[in-house]
Amino acid sequence: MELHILINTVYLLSAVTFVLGLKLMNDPATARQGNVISAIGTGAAVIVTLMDARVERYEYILGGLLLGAAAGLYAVSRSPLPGLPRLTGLLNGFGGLAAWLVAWAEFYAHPAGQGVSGGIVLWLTAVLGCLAFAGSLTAWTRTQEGNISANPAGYPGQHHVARAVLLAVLLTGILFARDTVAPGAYRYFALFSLLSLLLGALLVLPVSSAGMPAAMCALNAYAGFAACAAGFVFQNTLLVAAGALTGAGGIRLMLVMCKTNGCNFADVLTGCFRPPAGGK
Amino acid sequence: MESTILLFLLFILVLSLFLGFEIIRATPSPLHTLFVSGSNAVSGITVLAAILAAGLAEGGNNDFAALLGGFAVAFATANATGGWLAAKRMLDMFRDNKETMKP
Repeated sequence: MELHILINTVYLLSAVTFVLGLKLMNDPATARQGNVISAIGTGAAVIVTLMDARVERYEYILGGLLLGAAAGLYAVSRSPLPGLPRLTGLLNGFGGLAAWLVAWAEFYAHPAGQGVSGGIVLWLTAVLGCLAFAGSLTAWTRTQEGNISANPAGYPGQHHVARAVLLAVLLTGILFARDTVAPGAYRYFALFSLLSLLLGALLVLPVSSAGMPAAMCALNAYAGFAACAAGFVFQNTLLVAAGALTGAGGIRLMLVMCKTNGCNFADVLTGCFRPPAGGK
Repeated sequence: MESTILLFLLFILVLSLFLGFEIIRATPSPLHTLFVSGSNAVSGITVLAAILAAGLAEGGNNDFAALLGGFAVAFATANATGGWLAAKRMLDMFRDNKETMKP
């Protein structure tokens, strides 16, 4: 079918622009071109997705595009320059929130016919999205002026709580994916969503100020992986590719930042699962 | 999900992971710019999923789902456009600083 070919061809080209864009952004001299190129790739992908056969109603889409663009551009244009990294972190959280909303929407509209694999990818999208959102929100709160995360908010017993929450997220995910049509499935969805929000906050709370930039890279990565999971939900090649690309890039960037800043990347990623320094 | 499609997507996933990892060079200082810009590309992408979620035909469960999708489009778009503009502003500043530093 011709439309299908057009869409996937544009997706392929978009993927190329993302890779090129990222490469160009390695070097400050070419970084601006990189930014423009990936923006073009994103724009083309959006336009072509609007033509997808599955899209039959446009009011919500157009409303969302206009509102989102207006809000995003306004907030960023009005922000003082030093506040931009922090604001970008918050916006990244919005991307995670969007992923969770997408998972919810898809589950709400099509609870049947997902199968275990469908259930798993819905769960992944929701969990990763919530992790990214809550983590970004926590990071945003902790990096406020006058509230700089000089004191990592670790607390005694944090590792017990965090491990328990992680286990619960996994268990409810299994129960959910086993049977997405069961009347209880909705409760599992709500449960692992809330638990993932909690976990996202817990992940970021113990991070020191030296580790914050690295943590924000990790949060970027989580949002990327959430998009990747959404790609499996909709069987969308570009989402899978671009999501994995930026997810892995974010992790790598986090590792590099930890080397530069001297923070321990294990602490940034999993610090909440260990007893706080000097504590029990 | 059909297993062939799943396997194809996994193929893409694994290769993209390696690619994403390798692309980030271990350069220290313009790192911050990189990070901002990196998040930009990600951001852009979720909007595709949101569009597909918000575009469902009318009727039954779809109405509420499409509304959720609409919100998702809004958040993802804010993410994408805001991220792009933030990267642009920071890169502009970087360029201006470089020029004022010229002898």
